[in-house]
Amino acid sequence: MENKNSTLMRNKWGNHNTSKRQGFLACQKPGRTNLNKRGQLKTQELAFVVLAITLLAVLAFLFYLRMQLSQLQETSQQLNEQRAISLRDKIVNLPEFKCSVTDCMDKDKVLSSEGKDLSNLFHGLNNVKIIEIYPGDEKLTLYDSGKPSNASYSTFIDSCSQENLGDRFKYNCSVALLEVGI
Amino acid sequence: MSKTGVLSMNKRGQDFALIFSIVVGALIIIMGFYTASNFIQISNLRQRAEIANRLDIVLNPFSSLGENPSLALGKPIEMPENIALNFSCSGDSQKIKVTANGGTSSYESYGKYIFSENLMGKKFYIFSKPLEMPWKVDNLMYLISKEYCFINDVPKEIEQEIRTLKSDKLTVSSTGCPDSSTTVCFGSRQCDINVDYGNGIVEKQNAEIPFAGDALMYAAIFSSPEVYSCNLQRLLSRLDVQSDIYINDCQRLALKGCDNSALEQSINVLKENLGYVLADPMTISDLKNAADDVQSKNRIACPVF
Repeated sequence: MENKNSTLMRNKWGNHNTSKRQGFLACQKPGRTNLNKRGQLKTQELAFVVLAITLLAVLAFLFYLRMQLSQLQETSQQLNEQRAISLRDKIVNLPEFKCSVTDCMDKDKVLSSEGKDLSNLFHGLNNVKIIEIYPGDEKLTLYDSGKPSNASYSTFIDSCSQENLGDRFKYNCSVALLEVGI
Repeated sequence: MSKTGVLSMNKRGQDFALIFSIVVGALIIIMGFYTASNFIQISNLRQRAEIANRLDIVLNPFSSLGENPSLALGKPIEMPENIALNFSCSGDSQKIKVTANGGTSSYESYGKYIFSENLMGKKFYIFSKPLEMPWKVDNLMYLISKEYCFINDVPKEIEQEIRTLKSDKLTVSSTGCPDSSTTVCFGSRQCDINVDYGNGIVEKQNAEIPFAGDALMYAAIFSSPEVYSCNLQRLLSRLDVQSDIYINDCQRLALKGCDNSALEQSINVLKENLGYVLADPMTISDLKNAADDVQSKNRIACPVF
């Protein structure tokens, strides 16, 4: 009987005294909070680690993107340069401006083309100019898109026009620069 | 709290951490795959855009040079990988579509007249010839990848020109052509492409394509009828602008004492004919006649072209 009672008196922790049990529970409450806090801390820790890794990945991605962008800009600039140079050489030989007999640019044809829409011939360029150096000093604009050019490439050409010498016609030429702006 | 309670809390915490790490890990992997596939797509796009741009730049000299009757590139243009080139053209430009790595990029090319069919391969052969109407309008560029075999009564000047080009893809034969080649007949109508040189008609793909002069004949042979027709219109528009410039030039020279009124009149007739050809390309032979007339009026003393 005593045994039975004592069994009944015992709680699941095996304590005989109820007040002892209450005391234990009272001292255990802050322990549970501690555990919760430790769990929260761990979760926060994990979240911070994930955040840090994500941030690092984003930074690395941005860095890579920046590298790619600068590479892309470099390629684009290279292609623009190549196009400008190849177009510059092409413009010298355009039938619209070419001299009839010698290898030069005909000033009369250049002036005759004023007002004509030749933008297709100069696609990709911002402006095209002929700047006479010697003996002439004229400046002729073949094309102007209205946009400012970031870089310009030039080559020496002969800028000529047919002059009447009385008994015959002759090309009168000046050394000039053909300047293309991109 | 009992040991089992602590354990269950720990277990719950571990479960949460496991699920959390699985979810975050999966997200990171998905993002990684997405980013990688995007990078691959972008780099392929970039490569194709570069190919189209470089092709356009490579073709630039062919549109400016070529004072000689014709010009060929000794070596083929070799691409880094197998690509498909698709040509189409609009009012003032030609669109080059590059297909590689399962994707397509396109590029607009201005001031060039590329006559070609849709091509596929790694090596492309190019040659050019000026179109003279009667002055040089521009160089026509022909881009090919397959072999063409000219057979049956090939006119002497064409035969000579093709032999001068020394291109692997263009052959003249009197005996027979390789099976893989596209045959071009001049004297009969039994080939893939049949040329009626006298009447200026190329027959291919069940279409009759009119031409005037050898430059346009090659254009009709090597390009699709659609590209030919569109590029012809672009060329005629260019010739129209050039005619205006040359008429102005005649007037400027007249002020200096060079009477070019006959030439000016002939150029005006040429301009008129341009309108007819634009409406009906079959009248292109009339344009050639008008061009020949302009040529005869160009004065040697003070030439306009």
